[in-house]
Amino acid sequence: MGRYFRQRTLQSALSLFGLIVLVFFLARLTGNPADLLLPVDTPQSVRDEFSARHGFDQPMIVQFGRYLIELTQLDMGYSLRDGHPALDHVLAAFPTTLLLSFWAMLISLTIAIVTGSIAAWRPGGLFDRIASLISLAGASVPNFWIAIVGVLIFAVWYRVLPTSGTGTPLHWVLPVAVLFIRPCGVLTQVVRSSMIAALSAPYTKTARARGVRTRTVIFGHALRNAMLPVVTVAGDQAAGMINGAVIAETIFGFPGVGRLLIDSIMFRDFAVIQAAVMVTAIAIFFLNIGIDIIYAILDPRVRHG
Amino acid sequence: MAIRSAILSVGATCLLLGTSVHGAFAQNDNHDIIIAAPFAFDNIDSCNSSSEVGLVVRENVVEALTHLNPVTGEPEPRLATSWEQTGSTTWRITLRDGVTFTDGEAFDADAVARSIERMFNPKLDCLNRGKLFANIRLTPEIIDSHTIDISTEKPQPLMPIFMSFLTIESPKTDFDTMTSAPVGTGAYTVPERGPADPIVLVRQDGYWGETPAVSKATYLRRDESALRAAMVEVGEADIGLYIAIQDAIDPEMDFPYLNAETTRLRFSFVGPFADIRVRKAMNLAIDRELLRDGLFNENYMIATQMFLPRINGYNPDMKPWPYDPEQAKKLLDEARADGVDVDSEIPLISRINFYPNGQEAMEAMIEMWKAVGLNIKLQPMERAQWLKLVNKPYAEPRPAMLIQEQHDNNSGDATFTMHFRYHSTGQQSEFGDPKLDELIDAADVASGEERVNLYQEANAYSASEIVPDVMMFHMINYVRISPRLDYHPDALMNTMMELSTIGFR
Repeated sequence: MGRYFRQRTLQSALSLFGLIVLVFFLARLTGNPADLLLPVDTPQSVRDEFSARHGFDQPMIVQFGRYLIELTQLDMGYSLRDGHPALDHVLAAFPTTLLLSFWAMLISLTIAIVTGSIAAWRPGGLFDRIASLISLAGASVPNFWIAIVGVLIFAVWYRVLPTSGTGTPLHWVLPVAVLFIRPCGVLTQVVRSSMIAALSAPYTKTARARGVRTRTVIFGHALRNAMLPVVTVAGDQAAGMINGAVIAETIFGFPGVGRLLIDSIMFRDFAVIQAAVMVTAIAIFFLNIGIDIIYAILDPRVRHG
Repeated sequence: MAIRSAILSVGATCLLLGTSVHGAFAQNDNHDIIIAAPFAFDNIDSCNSSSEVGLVVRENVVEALTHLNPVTGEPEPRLATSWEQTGSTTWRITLRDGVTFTDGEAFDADAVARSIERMFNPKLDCLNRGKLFANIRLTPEIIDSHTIDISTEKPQPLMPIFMSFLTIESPKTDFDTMTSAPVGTGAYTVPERGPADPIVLVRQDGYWGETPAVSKATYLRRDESALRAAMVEVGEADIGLYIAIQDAIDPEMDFPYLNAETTRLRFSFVGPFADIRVRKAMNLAIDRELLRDGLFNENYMIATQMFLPRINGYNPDMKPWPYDPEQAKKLLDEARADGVDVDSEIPLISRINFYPNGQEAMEAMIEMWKAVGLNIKLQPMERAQWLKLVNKPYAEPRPAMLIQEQHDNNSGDATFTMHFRYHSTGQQSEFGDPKLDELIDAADVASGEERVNLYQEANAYSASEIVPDVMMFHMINYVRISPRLDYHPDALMNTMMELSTIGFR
């Protein structure tokens, strides 16, 4: 097991380095920050002065070398927009996204496991049909639409929730809802199909024949075996949470890393882009390690392999 | 029993949460206000006050030497009480006595000189320097504690207008780094905050002017126009800035104002656009009233020139192009007969999300040109890509194209528009016309009535003899204002929103 994790860490470190190289060069291919940060009417001389001050007039390889040297000193540079360290921005924003994603995944998984399992008990039944309809709709509806309609209904018409912002637990309801609906739809479908296979397996048939209670058959025997593909898809959905977070954070004014990343891309704030991508990549690395541990717990073949 | 108690628990929790959120929704009985804006306000150093940062800091936190009257565009006293031109390149400014910065430092000529030098400090990414003072070096000379001379290399008749952008910060402000908590002589201070916290302005006692009614202003960033409008509607905010046309549906709360932006399509003077008949035909083919009424609304003004009537140099005698597709066809036929290629496809370079309904307007105009036989194709671009085509030096060979543009002139004078766009040396000029260059050069150094007349003449000459663009509209913004406020937006609101002009009903 220890060897396995060492191997995963090495692989992830190599991927991280590849990501750093890619993000560094791709970001710079998209344009000069001087064009985006300075007003349109700014004379070329001032743009050149700006580029020189921040080292953007240097050859790309020189900029990259300097970046790598600074990185070894854990210096991720500073934001072009306000001059503060890029890492400070990312670390200030990251907890919000993490918390938002945590609640969204927790709710998604809980609903998906319960709904998918019950739906799989009688495939084609009324509950299954309703659950499939709702989960497919949830997996298909765009996040921004849910967000705007959610504000209209719950904040403007009924006034039971705030439109946006942070502060009270109710401020989190709409952003979490926007974030969990899509993964919940996808996961419900995965749980359902995985549970249908598990419930028709010989060991569940034996359990039923022995008169074991339905609840125990579903949640005690079948679910554990059906969870492996669910964990895989859930990990994928959790890693992709940052995409949904961009929408939720932008619309609801949540100061998270999704919105920070989009802002930084819009203004070619390279240091912040790089820092945000790196911190997110490290978080995803730990997420993958967590998924591996869950695999090992669920499947003895992984544990002893 | 278990179900019943579960329902009761959920009900009680909802009630509790509901009570707490009701508190969050409640309007303040005091004079604290919340402003919802689509901006991050990343760097509120006073050195950036000519951008949207000015909405927060300008005149609220840091005050300028003069203040532009939003109706007349004329400079009025603020931290300077009077000014006079003492030489061809020197202005003498008398400063207001008895004013202190909110950190206790005295306001005097030293502070003004330091603020000017700080703005020109090459270590700072100062937007004011880039936007307004890139080609004008100001040299301060202290005469006495409340008198200062400001000199320029060339005569600068617009100095009183430029002084409205010279915001003065406390001498304690770091000279070499930007600050996120500027200190000025204004009625408000900016408390220190974390990177994710909103900007808050707090009223201070001892302001030299009249005490404003607003005690505290919180600026919240909300990117969606619909959300900003909803926030004011439900009472979570008092002012929603930049409300889109489709969200400005409540005449009791939504107020339009001319935002100083003017839109046009610029011709590259290449291929068919080198022929003035084609440029005229393209103007004649556009039904601007239909465009305005269909995609915008009656508050938008059809533009004849690139700045508003309140700007020095606006020519009130210029008339919009009539809609005359028959005449357009005739001009195109004449050009075609002379061998001008008017049938090839020509790109219209638009900028994505430039202004509300901008893309739709471009598509409608393309259809109008199609009706007179032109073949224009929309080519939307992201800002960075678009900028490469907008500013000199242009990549060669420059193709025949139309470029979507929007320009704001908030300064009060035509020079900020004319030289840049219509002079042969202008950074966004596509042509060189000796007579127009002469008129603009003469206007740039003239003052008073002569200056106005020369710019008016230059404007009329350009529109009739050169036809460098397809003029569109003077644009409108909407602001949603809570009924509890007594506030009227003005034309300077793109870069300045004085809290002292906000009252309570």
